[in-house]
Amino acid sequence: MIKSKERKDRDTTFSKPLFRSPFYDFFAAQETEGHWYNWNGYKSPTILSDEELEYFSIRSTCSVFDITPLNKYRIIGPQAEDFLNKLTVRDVAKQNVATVKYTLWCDQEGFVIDDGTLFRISDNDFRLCSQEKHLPWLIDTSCGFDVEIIDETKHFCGISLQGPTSASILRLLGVNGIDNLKPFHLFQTKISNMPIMISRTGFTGDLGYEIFMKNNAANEIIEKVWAAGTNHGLTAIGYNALNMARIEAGFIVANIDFISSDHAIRANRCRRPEDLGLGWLVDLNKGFFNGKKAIVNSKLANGTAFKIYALEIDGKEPVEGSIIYYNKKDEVGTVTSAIWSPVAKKSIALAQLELGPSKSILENLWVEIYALKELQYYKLMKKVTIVKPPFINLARRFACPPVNY
Amino acid sequence: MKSYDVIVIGAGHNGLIVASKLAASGRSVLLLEASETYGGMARSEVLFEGFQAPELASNAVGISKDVVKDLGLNKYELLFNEDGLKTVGLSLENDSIIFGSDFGKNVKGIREDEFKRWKELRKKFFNQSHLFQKLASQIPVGRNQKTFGSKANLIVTAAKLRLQGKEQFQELLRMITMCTADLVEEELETSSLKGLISFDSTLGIKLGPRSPTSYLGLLYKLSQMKSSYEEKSLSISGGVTSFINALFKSAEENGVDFVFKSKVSSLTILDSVAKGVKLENGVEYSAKTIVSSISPVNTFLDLVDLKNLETDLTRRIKALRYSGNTSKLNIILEDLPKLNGCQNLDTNCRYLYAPSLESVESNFNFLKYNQLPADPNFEMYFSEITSESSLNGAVMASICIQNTPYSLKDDWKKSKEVLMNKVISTIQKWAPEFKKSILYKSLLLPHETEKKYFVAGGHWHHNELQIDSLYSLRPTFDLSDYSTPIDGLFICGAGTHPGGNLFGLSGLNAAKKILRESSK
Repeated sequence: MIKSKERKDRDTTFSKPLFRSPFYDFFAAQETEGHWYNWNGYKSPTILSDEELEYFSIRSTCSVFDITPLNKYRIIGPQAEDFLNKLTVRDVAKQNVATVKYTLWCDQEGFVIDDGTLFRISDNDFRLCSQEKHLPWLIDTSCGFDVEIIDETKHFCGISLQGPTSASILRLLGVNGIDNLKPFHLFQTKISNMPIMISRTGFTGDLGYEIFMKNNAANEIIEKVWAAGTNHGLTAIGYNALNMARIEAGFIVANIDFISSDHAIRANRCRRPEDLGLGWLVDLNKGFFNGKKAIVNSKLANGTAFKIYALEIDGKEPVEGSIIYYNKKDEVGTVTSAIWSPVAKKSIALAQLELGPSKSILENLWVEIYALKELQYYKLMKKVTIVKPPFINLARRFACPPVNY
Repeated sequence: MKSYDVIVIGAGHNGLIVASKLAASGRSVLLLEASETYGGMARSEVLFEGFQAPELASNAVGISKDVVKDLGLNKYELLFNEDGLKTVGLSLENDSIIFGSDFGKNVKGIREDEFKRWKELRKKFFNQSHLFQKLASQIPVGRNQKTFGSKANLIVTAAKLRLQGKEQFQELLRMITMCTADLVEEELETSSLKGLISFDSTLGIKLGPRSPTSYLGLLYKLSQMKSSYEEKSLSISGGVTSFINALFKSAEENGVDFVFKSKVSSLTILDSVAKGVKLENGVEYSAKTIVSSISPVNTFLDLVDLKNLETDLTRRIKALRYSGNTSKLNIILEDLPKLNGCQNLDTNCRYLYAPSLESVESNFNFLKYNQLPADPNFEMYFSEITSESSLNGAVMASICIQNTPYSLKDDWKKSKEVLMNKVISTIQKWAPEFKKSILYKSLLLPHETEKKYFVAGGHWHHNELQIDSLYSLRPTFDLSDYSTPIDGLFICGAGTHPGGNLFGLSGLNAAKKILRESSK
């Protein structure tokens, strides 16, 4: 008996075989030509059937993606808001109940540790979702606050429904209130008597919803959702399709587009919110928060730093991992994520570049591509244009109420 | 709310030095002390029947010459050990060795060839002790402190060590992280001599003679000795009190306001700027500059609301090692006990029970596992009581017991008596009259020191004085220049560089930093 209890509560991040989410059986059943990877200790799909078809389900019909491996922390207590104000850079006091905000948190140097989404369930009840694990950091930050922090990762699971028909599927499921649910808002409801939390959020830049529930509700809900989606093109997808969508939306991922400061070994790899193009999140008017002093000081010092930029590139060769040059000869940075965007019909990329204050440099940027064509490399220099993300703007993402299909 | 230029928290010697020095610069200074009188861990307490003496810091240590010079303490009556301090290494099997002043310039009771080897080794020790001598009086070079002066000082120190010759320098690099045991066993044979050196390099810190880097403890001690005022230690009877009184008078003359019995409960901090202090009795004071001479652990975990502190710093403070490991036994004797050989004990001597290196090491093993030492090592001083109390003519024995755990595996209630009896029966073996002439005795354990003297862990260095917490790592790399991430809050206690007994340079360096950094 004791042994089984230990098994249940132990950290499975590094255990083999990998942990399986409550939705595993469902997704495994959708697999025709599957590729799987380790996401936060869970066996997660990269591709289930066909990468392109999975991607197009996000943009044309509706996709279902398992977000259970996300780290989910519940923060409850009378000082939960104060605690989160110390932890994160945004002013949590300004976040209304039943809303979701994208946020990030820094160390004492003002370097970004991770980003995540903060769900305000009630005045004193929050859920924080992040890519990396942060329980020790959250606990150490909570010293002196009357707040309880619970790691819900293993006890709550979630799916993400993304795509134009996602709202219609939820309507079919009898979820009331979808019409009034604005982007970045959430509400609690039930699907066949199982309590769930629905938020109009996602990582695709499209119309979409995320649904969180307790593990024991997983099977029944996924079956209901799947059945409701039969005539709406609902497709189970893996990470690769989602990754294409998120690049189009211009979203960055920790440890892919920037190195989390508690992972970085080399000092110059750490990034401040400003460098990630997320300076607008930082609220210097609120009280003390982790990294505030360093962020204020860095604004006074006028140093050049690596910043993340959104790029459009001539041609259609893949540019992932390529080096960017100024004037075709001076290295200025590297591409961190790149795809050929099926919606924008362009080669797009996110890159970290050290450009300095001069504007003229922006006109003369090139990317060096080694294109492999039938066992022979062609070295190409393609013109790079810096653009303002996102690469695509879809009206349906913000439409309220969303169109019924 | 009353307002001052500077508020100093804690009237220990470092607090007094900061207060006096800042008041001398024309600032209005308020010194807040939780107990009834000044002196911190060196303060005089009524011990028995109205007799007053320092309960803790009665061992004879040196005070920095810079402090004496800077504050002009010469004009007060400072009592020193004029003839130097001899150490008698007690041994039950062999004759006791007498370790002459100036850390064994002469040693009686060892063979001649052994003395020759000791002389060479001692010379090496002192040559290497230059390492800390010059660095002690400077603000450590570090994250926040990058001035030309402090860097130059670091280079001069390195050059000085290098200029002793290639061989000497290589020897330093070889020895610096070694354990005391390996060093003395390379050269020496006499068991009690090795025991004595082992004891001196590990007293007060949580290391045994076989722990790597324990030799640094010895180097540190010798450096302090060399940079002490006139290279002398304070007199055994009344020396510590004379120093504390001199500091108090100096502070008083410079116009420091004292408020006793006023324990600070919290600091008032607004958006990372210190604005003032709040006392437990509700009184508030405001000031632009607040200097905390109490332990960094107490300062940050008790006074600064952790809500105002970076998580990184909270972690580093919590990771400090600060559980005390030395206890103090005070005994009042009817008169000076006689040794076995009828000769009287000397009040100008330090008596040391560390018969061998193995003895010190095995007692440290007990400390590691939070157990009572089997055969505790200790040092002991005798002073005749000449006060006007009823104890006039009696003798006080101050005994420092090494390797006593802060949190004992068993209950301290039962073990306290056991520990006392162990020490007394050891003394009894060579001073048979000792037990009979005991009038009073009291033992202060680390966790009791913590409560009575408001110092986390009851550690006399506030936090461990080891290789990872020296110079720019003391107490942590971002606090080593005495300033803190909270603007206007400074630290100056023993937990900062260089720390160490009653040396006083932590206070002086912090005062210099504040004078340089903050306007009135």
